[in-house]
Amino acid sequence: MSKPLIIGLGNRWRGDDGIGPLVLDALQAQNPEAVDLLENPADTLNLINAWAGRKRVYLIDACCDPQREDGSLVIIANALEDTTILHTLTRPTSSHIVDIAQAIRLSQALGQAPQQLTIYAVVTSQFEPGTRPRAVVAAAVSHVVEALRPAVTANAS
Amino acid sequence: MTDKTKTLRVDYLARVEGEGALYIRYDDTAVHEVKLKIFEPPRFFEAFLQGRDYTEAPDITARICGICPVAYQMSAVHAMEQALGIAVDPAIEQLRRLLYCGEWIESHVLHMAMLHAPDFLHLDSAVEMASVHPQVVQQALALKKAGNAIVRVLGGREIHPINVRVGGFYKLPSRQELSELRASLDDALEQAVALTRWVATLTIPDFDRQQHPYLFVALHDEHEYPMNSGRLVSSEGLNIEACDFENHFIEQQVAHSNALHCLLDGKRPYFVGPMARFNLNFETLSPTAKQLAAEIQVTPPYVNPFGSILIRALEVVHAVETAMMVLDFFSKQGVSCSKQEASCSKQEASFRHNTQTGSSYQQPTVRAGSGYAITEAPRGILYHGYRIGDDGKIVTAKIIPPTSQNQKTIEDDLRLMLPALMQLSEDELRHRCEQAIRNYDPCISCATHFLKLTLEKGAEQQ
Repeated sequence: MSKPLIIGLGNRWRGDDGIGPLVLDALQAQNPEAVDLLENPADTLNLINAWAGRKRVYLIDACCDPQREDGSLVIIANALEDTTILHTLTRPTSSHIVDIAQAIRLSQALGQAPQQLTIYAVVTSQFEPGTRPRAVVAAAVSHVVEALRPAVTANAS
Repeated sequence: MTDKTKTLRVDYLARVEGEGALYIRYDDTAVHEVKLKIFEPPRFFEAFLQGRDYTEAPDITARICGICPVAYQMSAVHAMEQALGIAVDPAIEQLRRLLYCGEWIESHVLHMAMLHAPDFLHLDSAVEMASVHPQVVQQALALKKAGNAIVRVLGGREIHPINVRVGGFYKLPSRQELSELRASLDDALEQAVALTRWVATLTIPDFDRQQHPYLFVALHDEHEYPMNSGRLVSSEGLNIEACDFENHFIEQQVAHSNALHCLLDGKRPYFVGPMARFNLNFETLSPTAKQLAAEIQVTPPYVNPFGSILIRALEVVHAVETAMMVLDFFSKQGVSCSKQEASCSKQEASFRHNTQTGSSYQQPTVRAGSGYAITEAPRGILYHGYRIGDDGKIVTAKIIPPTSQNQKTIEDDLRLMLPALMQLSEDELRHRCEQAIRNYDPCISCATHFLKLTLEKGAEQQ
């Protein structure tokens, strides 16, 4: 349970939203042994159990930011302490699901938050059903993989 | 209208699914007006379905709700199978029952622990709930995980499952998947029992409608607590098939709601959901649920809607125990199980015999026809009625979800409850009203969606 956990969020068939799983594919190809990979736990509440007890968790997701160019990378280095950005996100439209910020707060209330949570969010804008991420967004995969290299190659600790 | 008239408004009701508001006009003498305003726009699903193939109904209607998609799939496939004259294999019926158990568990535990329990503890959110009662939230999350696992294995994924088809399933789970699923439920029953005992420690507000008794409506099956099967019965002797539903239950449009009100004979409000099911089907609850009901002193007739949280807890126990039973039979098929054999019903024995078939679905012969079905969604009965042409295209569709059916009863609860609560502060009164609405776990997304509350003193009528 001490291995870092890398979570890729997103729907592979909703255009740019598939960036999280795409990053996991790239990491999987490197056959990393030092980390655990988890694709899209569907119900965001599953995040709470998935990252409970972990020291380090990395979460890859798509985000929207009209002020930035598509494909650029937003890094929230310590999402557990600085949820400012997360609180600016659009709230869930359903009371029966939680967003990432709520999952973090619930985890903290339960004493199940990881020690460190880093979020890599790739700026995206097209989510057409049945399509894959556009090239401009897919190009960010290598940047995320590079940013994760220390975690992927480090010995479990 | 006097200058002492007060208006209680909730502009957005929290911790219910969808968007709606509450408007109550009252003074010291009486409650003059109660409106549960559902302002979420109409969603036109019945119109979307016209002209689509009969095979698409389960997946299109599942998109009505992210919490109870299984209910939509179940009502849709049963109605279509009736229209096409298909009788599915008993093994398929049991897998569907298992899938429905998963949805009941997911839906009920989330509502109980995260959305409704905070009302009884004067907490504002699930996060506060997790801070004050972390063990309860952890139990709920573990149970929800168990429910999710059932829906994932049977339905293909946790949210909006995609494995249900008219005549059966697209793909049957392997015996290994079912065995692993059974193993994952090992702790779930204990957790469900513990959660029920904790819920039973909550202080349930008194509310007595003896002068205006509820008319309970639910499915009833003499063999099993109803999910997918049974006739529609009421606490006043109604006993009909689904095909007769529209002869008795009439939808009406009201100006303040985008969800139609459904009334018996176009006049009588009625009550659907866990409390109706419990009162009309107590004898078929699972053994542990029944035993626990006696322990916490919740036995039929149970008529306090604030205690609905207790009944949801019992239904979670029932759903977990039923899921374990179904999975035990599947994982032991072909293996001698004399002890189980001796105690199982004829239906269960028949089920075990038919699990050998291995067929994932029955291919229908397309023909023109009509089909009607009612299944028990977590929130109550869900009616689907379809007419299809000889090309298999849907000609008409009618869908009546549980929240539409409970709307008028919720308004009546508020009207009858308020006179005894006038001494409360406005904040307390508003809170109690919201709690009363959450007794029904309303899903406005289904009914079309829900809730906003502001309190004004001496306001003019609006």
